[in-house]
Amino acid sequence: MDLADEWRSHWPDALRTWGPFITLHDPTMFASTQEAVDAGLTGSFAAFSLYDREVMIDLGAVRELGLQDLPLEVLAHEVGHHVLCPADLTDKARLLVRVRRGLPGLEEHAPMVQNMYADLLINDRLLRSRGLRMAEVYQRVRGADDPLWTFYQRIYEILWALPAGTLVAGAVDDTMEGDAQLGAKLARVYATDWLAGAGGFAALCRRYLESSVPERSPASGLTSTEAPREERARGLRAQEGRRREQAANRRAERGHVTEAAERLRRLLCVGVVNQDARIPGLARSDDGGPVLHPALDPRVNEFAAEPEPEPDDGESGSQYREPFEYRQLLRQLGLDISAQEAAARYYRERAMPHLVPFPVSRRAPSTEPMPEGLGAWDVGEPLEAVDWLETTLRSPVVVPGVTTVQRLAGTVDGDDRDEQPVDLDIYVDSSGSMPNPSERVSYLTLAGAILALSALRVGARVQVTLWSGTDQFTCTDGFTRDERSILGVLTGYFGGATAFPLHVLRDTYRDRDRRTHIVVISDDGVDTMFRPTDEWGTPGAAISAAALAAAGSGGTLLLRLYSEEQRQKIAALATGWDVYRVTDWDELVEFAAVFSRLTYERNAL
Amino acid sequence: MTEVPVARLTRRLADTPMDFLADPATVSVPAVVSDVLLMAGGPALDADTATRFDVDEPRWRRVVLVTCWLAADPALLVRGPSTLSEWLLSQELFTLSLLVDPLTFVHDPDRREELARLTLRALSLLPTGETPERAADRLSTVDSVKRHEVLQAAKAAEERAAAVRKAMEEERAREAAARYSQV
Repeated sequence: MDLADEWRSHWPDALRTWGPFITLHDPTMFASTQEAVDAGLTGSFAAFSLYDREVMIDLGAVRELGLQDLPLEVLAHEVGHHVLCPADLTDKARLLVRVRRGLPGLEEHAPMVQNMYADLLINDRLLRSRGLRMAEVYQRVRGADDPLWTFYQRIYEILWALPAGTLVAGAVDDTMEGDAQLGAKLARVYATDWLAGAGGFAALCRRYLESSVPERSPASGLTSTEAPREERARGLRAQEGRRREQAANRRAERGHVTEAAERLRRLLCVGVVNQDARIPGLARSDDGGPVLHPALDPRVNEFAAEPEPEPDDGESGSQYREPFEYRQLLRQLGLDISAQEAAARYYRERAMPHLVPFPVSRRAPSTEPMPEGLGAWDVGEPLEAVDWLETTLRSPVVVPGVTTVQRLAGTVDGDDRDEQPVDLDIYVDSSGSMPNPSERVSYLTLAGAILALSALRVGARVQVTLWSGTDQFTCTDGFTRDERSILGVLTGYFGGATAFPLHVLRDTYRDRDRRTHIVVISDDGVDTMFRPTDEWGTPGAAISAAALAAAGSGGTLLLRLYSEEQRQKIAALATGWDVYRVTDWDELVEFAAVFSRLTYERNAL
Repeated sequence: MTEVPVARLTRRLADTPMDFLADPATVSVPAVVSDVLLMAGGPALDADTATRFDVDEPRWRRVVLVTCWLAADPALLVRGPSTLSEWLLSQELFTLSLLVDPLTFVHDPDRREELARLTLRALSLLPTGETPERAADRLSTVDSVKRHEVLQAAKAAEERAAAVRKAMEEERAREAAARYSQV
């Protein structure tokens, strides 16, 4: 029996360690590390996917680490990730958020600390309640003497009453001993409420992380490293570049750690996330308040005083995290996601609860088709009109224009009045004076997202044009119902000069027959929509007025203005347009209410 | 050196009868101690020695009661009344009573192990299957006095680190504010 078969034979036992009713499909075993890497399992010897309930084991690494004879321990541990911690994707995200809060300034290490914490809880449960040889697993890879791993291994020694030095290879001073005792106690106290203990565990690890990880240059703080990444993300090879960068970072980091520490690091299981995984609620930042260090937590440290209750500052705002933080979270969860895709998800999540009624135009009573027999189909008529069944019944040899037939249909009056949703045409100002929506929350973009998603909800089509300087614009492929491309363009960013793409507006409404609502998201640079002329010398004001008339369903200017006077100035310029000032949440709500009311009024007409 | 299983002693502590956990003001501690000393083959306390157990230290009196229940295990009684009496009146047990809530010696697994191991050491007994070094190592992990020291050290270190972090954050905020105000 080869190793894979032998390990697979232990799978039912591994499932039973967690209960008689646990079912997961068989684990995926990779015979060599190369195979595992090709399948996307890197940096660890085992992985679990919470999306499709999968367990993956790299048997090449198992041999390297000398764990061949511990199949039950390893497999039961992996099952533990599906049953105990983190168990599902939402909890994994919440766990990551808590760990990040416990690691201010060192957030980039949150995924590793999160894995350490989950492994700690699972291993302790397996050893104490199921009697599995978890200590042996760590004994096999003993040898790392850097502070972080020494501290982590000391926690296991205390938890499992092992003599000092069984797992630990480095020096343990009094402070580390105290921290390890706190860590061990924390693992027990919060064993069933592990989310509450995650921040504390991270806070304990923080000091040892600082001394274990290589010195970072001041410019390599988390937000700063994101910035150049953003630049590249706009290029065609954004994803490839990011992967290369991550690999280089991993290699550079590895240069600073010893081989033994690397072995321990590989022992940590990684959670794999499907790229299409949706994690609801991640944009909200109600993540349980500040982290209490275990030394100050009376549940963990019996000698600590009860903490003073946090003063309630009465602020109910800022319940959402910023888009850049949302993106970091998604990436740390393992999603290889571009800045734009992350921003699109962010604004989608925030917009969804606030969708507004979107205008729907009513037409004369609808007609319904009535089949009226067959007629000849000739070359030049739409191919999809051919009735292939009747054609082949007539002659098995199809001769276009001779044997081909099509169904003819007349019309009868229907009962209902036909409803046709009004389409939406959005022009998003992306000049340097506008905020980058993928970094900081932009209420204008949010308003745009609310309108676009509301329109899609009633079956309308949406066109989005992102514009900045002259000839600097990007557009969806006409009016579309593809939510991803709509939000992608809406949340994009140029950061250049300001010149409204009058030619796009002009060409869109040259021969458009569907009713459309036009929305322009901008700031005081919106005057470039009215003042300049297009390339043929037609004044902008005339083009805008013509477009508004052709659209037939009104136009809205959503502007980031700082005074009412500014708004009135623009309103005077933009005759026929509804001009709104949206700079914060309250104004956004007000806009949504007014928009809804106008929608009803228009419909009533 | 005689060996006694720690698990048996911790089990005994977990089974401590409610009488030993009653309010110490309602229990005559010298009487209980006398009973245990008699069981260990010695004389009971006389009026003079009884007063040493009749002091106004409720936590200590409670710890003595729980320890008496533990010491009534036949494997411990063989060490004789004088060693037992010395342990009950030791400074170590008194310090322990100041640090730890006496009821946790019954309810908390780690504290049960601590009292069992401390008692074994005081009576010059070894836990079954452990060398003196191994026993000392394990005791040092559950030892409340030592734990109190290291946890205080960890707490102080964290408070220092938190103060440094706060100062650095304020510095960063000042720098950021200065940058914007120049624009």
